[in-house]
Amino acid sequence: MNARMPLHTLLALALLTTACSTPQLSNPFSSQDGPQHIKDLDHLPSRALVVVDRHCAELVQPYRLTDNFASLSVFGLKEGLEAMPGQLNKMLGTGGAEAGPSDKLGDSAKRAAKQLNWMPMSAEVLYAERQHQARQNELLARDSKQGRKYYPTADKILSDILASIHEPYDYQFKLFIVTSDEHNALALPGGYLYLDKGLLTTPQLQQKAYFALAHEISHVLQRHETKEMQSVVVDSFSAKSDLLKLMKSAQGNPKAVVDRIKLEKGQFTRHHIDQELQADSCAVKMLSRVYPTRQQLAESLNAFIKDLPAATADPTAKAASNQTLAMAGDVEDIVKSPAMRHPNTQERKANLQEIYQEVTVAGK
Amino acid sequence: MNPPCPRLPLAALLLLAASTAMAQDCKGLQDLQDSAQAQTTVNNIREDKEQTDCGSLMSVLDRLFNTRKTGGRKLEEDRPFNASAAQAELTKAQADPEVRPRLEKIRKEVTDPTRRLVYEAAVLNDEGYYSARDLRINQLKQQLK
Repeated sequence: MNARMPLHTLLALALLTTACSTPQLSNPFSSQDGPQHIKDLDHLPSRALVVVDRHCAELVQPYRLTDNFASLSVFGLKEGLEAMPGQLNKMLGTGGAEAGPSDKLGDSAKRAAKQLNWMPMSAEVLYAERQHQARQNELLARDSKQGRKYYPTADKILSDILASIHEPYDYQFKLFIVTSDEHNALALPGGYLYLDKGLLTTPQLQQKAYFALAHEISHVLQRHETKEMQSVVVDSFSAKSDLLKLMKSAQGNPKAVVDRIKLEKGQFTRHHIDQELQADSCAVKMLSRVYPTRQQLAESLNAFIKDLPAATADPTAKAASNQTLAMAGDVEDIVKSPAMRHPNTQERKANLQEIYQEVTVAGK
Repeated sequence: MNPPCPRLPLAALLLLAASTAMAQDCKGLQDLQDSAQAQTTVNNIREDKEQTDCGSLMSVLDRLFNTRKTGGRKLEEDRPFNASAAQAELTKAQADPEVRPRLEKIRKEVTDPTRRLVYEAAVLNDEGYYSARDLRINQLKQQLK
């Protein structure tokens, strides 16, 4: 999260500049690339940071702004929020409707703006390029001795998985091997994928590598990181008033403030966990197309599950003897527990079992 | 023969920049910088550049001094460093006929313990023994404290 915050300004600038630029990638503002994909926003959740579809009904989220403008317009008409597309134009610096002094960005519009994908591809790539440059020295060169040994395997895994995605997408995926013996993988927006060399050393680990890479591709295609960046931008529009409200309530009731922060952090953490589970689900669906038999799919999932940390019991809440102690405990939780944690082993296993059942019952 | 290393001046800058940036909370690095030992170390690495590949050397120095957190979405949480697995891998590397002569050459030719660890880490990186490399980098960090 820290790494993203200083990029806030950069992203805002990127949003403005990309509106006028001609990126090499396909133009997200274009309406020439086929029929519009209108996302149904009838059931917009009451909070913005919610993964609407944890079981991954769609492997690819639409990204063209025309799709999203269309979806937002339909939603705006339903909600009587006629000024909403104008608001989005204003946020993106693309001109459009003039915003008057009473042109307030309402909660519904904000929630919709967080759920939809309106950040241009070139902004994603700009963000990812900066991160990528910073980690160049951690990557295996393709022409090195180790690179010549491991890149063919990694490239084959990527190509097998991409061949299974029949839905159109606009990413040009780029794969890099990290000089690490760990078994992890990472994705940046814009299609930058990273696999630890440790995942490529044995056939057993390569089965996990299939799952790892499918999971990371899913993060990109579901635009998870991008949606969180969008939220930062959208939230900045009312951050001042929220903060003032919070400061006022702090005078008489500090516990209310702690509770509010705890709730917000809990929502954010849950959102992050659900995105991870959604990427797991999408990975299973992708791999069900990669592997011709159930057995091979199960082997890849098992390779991943076996390599997860041992399941541990959830820490039990400490009973506090009075309200002050309880509040101190809450503050400690807020400070010490990471906001962006992964689902634990039990959560991941349960979710994978559900998706495996869904996929296999559906016709494999 | 290894190719020339045009990025070594960068390594010098990296080493010095890292020392400056971290000097406030790292006494060891501040001492290094004050005594100009950092500059000397990099100069010596320049002279001894045939010991190892430039990219591996850059990678080791980067891992040694860079404390940045990368963004992006990981498959799972990072796990704590497994020193015993890394030690086992180092033993394996030392028995590897392609690696052993390179490590022996360094031990014979480089007397300064810090420089020796840097080169060993770079050779281990070059040969794909990354856990063993990280063990050497951790030892370097201890030395520089």
